[in-house]
Amino acid sequence: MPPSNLRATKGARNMTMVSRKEKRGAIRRLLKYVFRYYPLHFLLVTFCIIVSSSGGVAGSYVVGNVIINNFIMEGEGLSQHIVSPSDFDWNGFNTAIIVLGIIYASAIVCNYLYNWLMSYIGQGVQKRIRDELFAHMQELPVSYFDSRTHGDIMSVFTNDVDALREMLSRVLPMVSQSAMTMTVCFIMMLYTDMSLTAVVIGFGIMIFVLTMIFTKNSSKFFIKQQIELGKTNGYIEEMTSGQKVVKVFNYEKRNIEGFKKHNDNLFKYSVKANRFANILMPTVNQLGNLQYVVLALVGGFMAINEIKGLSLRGFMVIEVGTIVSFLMYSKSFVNPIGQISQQMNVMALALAGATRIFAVIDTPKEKDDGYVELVNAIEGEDGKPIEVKERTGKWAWKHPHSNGSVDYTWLRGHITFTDVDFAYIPGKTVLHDIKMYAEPGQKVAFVGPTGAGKTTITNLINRFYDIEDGKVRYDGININKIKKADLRRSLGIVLQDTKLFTGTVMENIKNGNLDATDEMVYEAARLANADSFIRLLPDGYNTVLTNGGSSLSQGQRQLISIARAAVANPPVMILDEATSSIDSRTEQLVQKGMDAIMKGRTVFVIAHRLSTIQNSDVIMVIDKGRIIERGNHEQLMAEKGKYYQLYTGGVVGK
Amino acid sequence: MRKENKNSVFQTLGKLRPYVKEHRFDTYMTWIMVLLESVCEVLVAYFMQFLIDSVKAGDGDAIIRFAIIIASMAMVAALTGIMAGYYSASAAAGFGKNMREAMFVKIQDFSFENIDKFSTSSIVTRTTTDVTNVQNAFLMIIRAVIRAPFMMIFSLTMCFVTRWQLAWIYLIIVPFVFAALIVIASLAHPTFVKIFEKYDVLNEEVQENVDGMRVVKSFNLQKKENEKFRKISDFIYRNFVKAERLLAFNGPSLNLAVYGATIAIAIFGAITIVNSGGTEMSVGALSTMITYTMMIMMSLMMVSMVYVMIIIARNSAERIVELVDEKPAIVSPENPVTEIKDGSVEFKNVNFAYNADKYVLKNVNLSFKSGTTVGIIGSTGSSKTTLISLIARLYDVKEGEVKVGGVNVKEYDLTVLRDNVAVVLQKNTLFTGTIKENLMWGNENATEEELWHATDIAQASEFIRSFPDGMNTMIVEGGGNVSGGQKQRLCIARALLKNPKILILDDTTSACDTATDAMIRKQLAAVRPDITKFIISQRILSIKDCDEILVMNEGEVIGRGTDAELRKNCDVYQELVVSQMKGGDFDAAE
Repeated sequence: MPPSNLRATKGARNMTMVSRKEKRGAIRRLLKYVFRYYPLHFLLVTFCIIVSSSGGVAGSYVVGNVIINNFIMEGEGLSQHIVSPSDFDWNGFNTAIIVLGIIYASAIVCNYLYNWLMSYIGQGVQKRIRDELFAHMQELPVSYFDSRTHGDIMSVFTNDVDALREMLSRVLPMVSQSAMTMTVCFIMMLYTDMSLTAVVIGFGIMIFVLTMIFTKNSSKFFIKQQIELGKTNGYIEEMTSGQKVVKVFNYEKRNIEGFKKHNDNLFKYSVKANRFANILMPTVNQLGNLQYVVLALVGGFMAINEIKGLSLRGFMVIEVGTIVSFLMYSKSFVNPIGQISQQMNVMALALAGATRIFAVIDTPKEKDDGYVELVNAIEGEDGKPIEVKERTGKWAWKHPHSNGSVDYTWLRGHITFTDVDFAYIPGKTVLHDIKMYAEPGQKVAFVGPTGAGKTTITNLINRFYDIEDGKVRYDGININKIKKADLRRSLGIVLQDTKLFTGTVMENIKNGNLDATDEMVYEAARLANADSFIRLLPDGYNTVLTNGGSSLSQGQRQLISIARAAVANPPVMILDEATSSIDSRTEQLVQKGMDAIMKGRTVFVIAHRLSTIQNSDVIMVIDKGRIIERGNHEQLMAEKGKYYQLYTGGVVGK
Repeated sequence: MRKENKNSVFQTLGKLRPYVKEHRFDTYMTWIMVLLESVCEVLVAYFMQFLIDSVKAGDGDAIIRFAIIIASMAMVAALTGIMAGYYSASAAAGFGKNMREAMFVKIQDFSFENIDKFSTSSIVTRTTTDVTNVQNAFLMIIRAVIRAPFMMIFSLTMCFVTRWQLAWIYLIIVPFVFAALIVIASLAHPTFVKIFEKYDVLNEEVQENVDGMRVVKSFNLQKKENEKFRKISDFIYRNFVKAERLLAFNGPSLNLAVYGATIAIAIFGAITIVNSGGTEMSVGALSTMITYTMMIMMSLMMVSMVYVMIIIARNSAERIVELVDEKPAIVSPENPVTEIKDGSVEFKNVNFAYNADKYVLKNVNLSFKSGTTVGIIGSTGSSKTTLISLIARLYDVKEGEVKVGGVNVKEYDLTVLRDNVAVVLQKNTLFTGTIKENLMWGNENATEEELWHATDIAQASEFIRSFPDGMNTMIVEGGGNVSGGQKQRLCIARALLKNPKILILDDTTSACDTATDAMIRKQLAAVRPDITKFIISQRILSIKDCDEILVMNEGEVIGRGTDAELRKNCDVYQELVVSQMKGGDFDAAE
């Protein structure tokens, strides 16, 4: 797939709106991960957060209510005055300071502990989700990948998991600490004085409402900004990937004009979105200060008039110290609201991401109801296979029946299609009534125009897709009954697009057969005509390939992929346009490799070069999903049908 | 690539500074507003102690007086804070906008050599993610750069004013916290760098698996790939935990400082108050000192956050600078020739290498009269494309010279040269927009008639007419909704619209059936005989009727002549003839 599929992954994609219900579902599932894998961590974290937030608040209480009211001052209400040095209760004071020290020390320790533990939870959950996502992705049916761009799938791994990390490791601890602090403060405020608490609640509601309004406006523009970002991204992506065309057409100026349009829009919305977000903080901060003033006014008035206030301790006269500590609580109560609101956008993005991640994880896996297995076997006296544990180089299908008996059939590579219909999208049948058979060792070629259904037929053999109607049999066994892994193990595949993986040449060839010894790799490479050039690479078989093997020529990559298929030594091979993008001189080299590995196997070939097809045992001409002609080259030429037409048309102007 | 000119953080930042440009006013306004906001905020804290003292004294008038002062200060702080937010938003967004634009404009100056160096995804990352990182850092820095030092100095000063005998506590604590925060951030940084590098590996692994899904499934590689993925994933997990374990010290060290200061102030303050009977220090002053402690720590936290932001943005900033600093390999000369006499082409002792000394063209000497049709054939990697790239000066020769119309291509104005030498690239692209818009890349003033004339020659008119929207049919990105052959024909028409003197077709009919291919060549010869044409192809059929055919092998022209001549005296050509004439090609019908 071209990299252009990665377009706009950072921007527009993330903006599909996620309903509130989905968000709640995502939160619940995230928490499930936490509870399942980190119950102990979680308990400890909760405990530590409580201690750390209460520690801070309790400290304020000790400074205000205990040290000031009980030691520095004496008396009640307005008759309060500073104690004389001789009356100062040194012992009590020292104890209070020590208590304060202990409270603070435990708050600090707990603060560290929960941050530390939280990183295990955050990173751990994230790792589990990422691993699960990857493992699940491997099991998804091929049709899943057809229906979305690779960029979209990549984006789930990068952007969505990233957003999740942001939330799990940064926002979540902050929000939980904030929430805890607010709760503790609230209790302490109630404990101190209820009428003053009412003032704080009033302000709290005001701040909350303001926050909601700002956040709503800001996220409206934030979304527009993301959409514009996506568009700008897309423009840059498209134009940059066509930059060479831009150059040869002197299109630069017009290109810049086009870019500016997007860039200016992005700027416009970015300004608006950030303005709303930036305005929130100072507003909340200053409302906090105003609240301070109002509290001092109300508190002062109550103190002057010695009005008793209701608190959890009962009716009490407000003291100076009480007001001081109350002011502290009120500040600690209000601050988190602003902080949390700043994280709303991150939360929204993360939850949207989590929803998409879970959507992938919830996509049903490729179904595999197969129970027929491929086993090592030796030949019994009657020529029938007998199952053995060790590698024998011979394979048999092990077919258990419902009555408990087990059948063994030699793996030979006999394949039949009986009245097969297939549709990628239900109702839109692309293959009609396919009937064919391939005897072991036969070479079957498919020809026909692009989109006729050639590749589709081979995709049914290895069960990338399941047929709608009819039957495909492998050595007489319905392939639906064969375990997919075993079925695919018995098929070798070489595609036009070689898809080598990052790793050494050796590893790449071994991908064809993970149990292969180095010797087997050399042999397969020799067979595929690849050994000689591999040995000339800087590190021979240990040369590391990156980027899909981009340091090799296309022909060399193809040779490695042929060796990869050969090392599995499968009885059936599928060669899908394996040589079509190679020039004809290089093809001769590759062709030799291919001819060598085709020997003695059932081979299905899709190709458009006649030289590849001509010597096939059977050639099927496919058109619009139907086999319209079949036979060997001579027969088809004699028939003077479509094949003849294609063949002679191909050499028009000779 | 980046290692060779490693700028210091400040050099990098200095290079980016000009992009603030027209948003300088916004930036200055932000600073003024932040300054005012900070002044008001500290004043609020300062007056708070008088308020508390008034409460204590039961002085109702004073309470109201200070309440009004504080409230109005808070109001001004809110107002200026909002203004600061307002201006900083456009300053930062404008900064980002200018950086993006500068990069995009720069890319337009890139020659092919520069384009080869930067991959598309790397450019997109630079213009989006990297700009966003730097922009966010900028937003934070322009606000914090004034606020943090000011708050710190003012709070410290006020602490000294309030009770200098106690203020020494801060002189111990502030440097300690500052050092701690910086050390933590610096220790964590290398781990983060490691993690982000590993992230690239992780993404690559995912990408490979998504792209190669069929291979993975065919060879049952799921388990193996899972293990590979888990290893990378484990590495990231372990290092993240390691880094976060370090960062987890941030909060506690700040708390340690705040709490330590609070206790110290409580002890010494209480003693002072009690011993002096409240004359040397009031109860209000005690709580004010504690408030200042919070403010000092907040400013320290801000400093550490800015530090972290700079560290994060640093890599991004470097990547932006790297792109902007890239020197275009090819530019127009100072007094360029602006007219091209004719379509004659000459190669004189041309040697060319993409990398240092790995020559891919060796000693090429060729000359073609205007109007010649030249066919070029040879295996992949034989430098056919490289050869023709030199004509439009897409790359510069290493040695020797290439002449068009008798003049060295280096002397022409680039625009003039490329308008007259139309190259239809092998890896060609159509862009989002209508067919008409795409064709007009060739000539933005083309009339309807001219458009159809070009599509007639390129054998594209028929299928364009078959679309319900004709010329106004929308092409999706990359031309995914037209077939390969249709795309190639549109690209040829687009190039013809430039009305060039030289037309280069680099394997541009490979997806067309042989009959269409032949028709295009026939039309070109009939309608535009004056144009010098270069046709690269893998098919003998496509080039065998050319006036001259070049056979290339490993960077050298090993055969030159007509089809008949080459069949006689060129082995490689004969080989090609044999392998291709054996049979036709089933690409045939699209």
